[in-house]
Amino acid sequence: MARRFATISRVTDTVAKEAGKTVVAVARPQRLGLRKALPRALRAALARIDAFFFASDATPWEFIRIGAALLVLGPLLLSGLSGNYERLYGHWGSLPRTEALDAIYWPGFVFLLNSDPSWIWRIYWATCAAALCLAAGLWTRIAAAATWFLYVATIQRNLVSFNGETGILAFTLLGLALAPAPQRSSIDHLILRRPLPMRAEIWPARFIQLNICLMYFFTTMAKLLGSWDIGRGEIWYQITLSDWFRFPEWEWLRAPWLCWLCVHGSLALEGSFAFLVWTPLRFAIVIAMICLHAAIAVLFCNALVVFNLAAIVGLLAFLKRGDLSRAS
Amino acid sequence: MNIPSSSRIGSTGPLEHSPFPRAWLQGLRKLAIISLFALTVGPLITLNLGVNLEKAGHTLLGARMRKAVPFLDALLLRQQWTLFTDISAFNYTTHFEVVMKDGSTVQLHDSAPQNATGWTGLLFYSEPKIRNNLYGYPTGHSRYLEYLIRLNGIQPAEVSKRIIYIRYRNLLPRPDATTAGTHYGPEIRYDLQSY
Repeated sequence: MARRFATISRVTDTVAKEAGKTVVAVARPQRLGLRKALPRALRAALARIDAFFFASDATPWEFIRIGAALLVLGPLLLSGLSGNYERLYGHWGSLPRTEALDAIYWPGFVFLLNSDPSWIWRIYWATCAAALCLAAGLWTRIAAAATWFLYVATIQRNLVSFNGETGILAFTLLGLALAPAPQRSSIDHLILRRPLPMRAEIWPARFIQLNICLMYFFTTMAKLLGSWDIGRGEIWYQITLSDWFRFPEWEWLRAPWLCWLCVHGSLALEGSFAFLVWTPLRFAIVIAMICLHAAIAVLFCNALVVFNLAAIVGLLAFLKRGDLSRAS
Repeated sequence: MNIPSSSRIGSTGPLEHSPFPRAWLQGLRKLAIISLFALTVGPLITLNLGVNLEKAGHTLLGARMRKAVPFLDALLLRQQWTLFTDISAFNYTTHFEVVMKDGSTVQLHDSAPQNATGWTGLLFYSEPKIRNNLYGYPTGHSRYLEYLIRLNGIQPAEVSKRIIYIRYRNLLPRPDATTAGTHYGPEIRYDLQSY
């Protein structure tokens, strides 16, 4: 390549010397054109990046905030009531404090700071309080950051409790900590009378959106490369027989044409989401995806309900204020 | 960076009193935000590409791309997205058992989910996921067994053997199911760990 480039340069120089001023006169505008075109293209690219990350924000943050907070609070209250919290995160739980020191990432160390077994309950109530403040919109940003960190710390304390919704909530809560605040339906605005931001930028919503797109894209890729038998759709037959499925006795759900439709339809929706959501089809594909998650939440056992609700909350980051009124 | 008029920040704010030109500071701020995106989303893409490359058979390159990024891993910001990718071809329940020094066998029970009785599905809604996580994580499984030994009031010194096993039923493929007249195979016991 380098040799070829050298040859072309040499030939051009020779021709230029032989032809004299005429060639120079023709060549200069071309060079100048390129010089002008490059910065113009760069400026256009920068303007697009600027518009993508820093355009005005119309995300309905209230719904995301309340949804994410309740998805932290609800399971937390259930685990506290049932004794599951102590079982998973207690000093004498399934990962004892003495072993946890060598087995967990640093956010989980919050749980190990104090050897008193009741220490974990202080973290529990602090997490509940932070999530409650977030749901109500009281000190929104601080509440979001505290909920995010305490939630991550809790999961890191015993990674056995990690699952799909954990991943979605982690980036959604971080997005909320960065999101414009106060929001319309919040104590901060309605009672404490803090003014709404004059102009909010869209990048915190983009953070959630990009993560959601990557989630669907890579999940589809893994399914295509993995055990999802494309063409036949028989994996749906297996899914309906697993003990995670609520209605295994419904034989009609296993009809070959329905298996084909469920597998290929969900794959097409998931796989195309990351691309179509940036087009005018945004609203339609987001609603379709929300319906898909709602259907999964109904068809499968409780273990998948929180995950699907978390995905729905994450998908709300693609909606804009006024979308629903326009649709109706 | 080109700043369209619609994206200018209001006149009030800390940038107003800065000795540096306003446009510079705004540009720097935007650059910092975009860099933050690159730092968080970049490793996420690399990890997931690595996972899929490994699946496609490029193990060496895949493993290199899956290298840990401790800071992001600790904050759960580098997820491996493989939701619902691998569906197990069998239904199973996990069981824990210890053989005592006197030769007797004791089945270990977790009182918390058992006491929840009819509410188990709600109060312990994530139990199937925890069971799956433990299935793929032998160290966690043995830790959980030790927890059950403590919970069941057994002296660890009295235990001569620990066994973790599953009871499972295969899901029969459609043609086999038609012949057998059922979708499920017979229940089989399989020892995951015995030590």
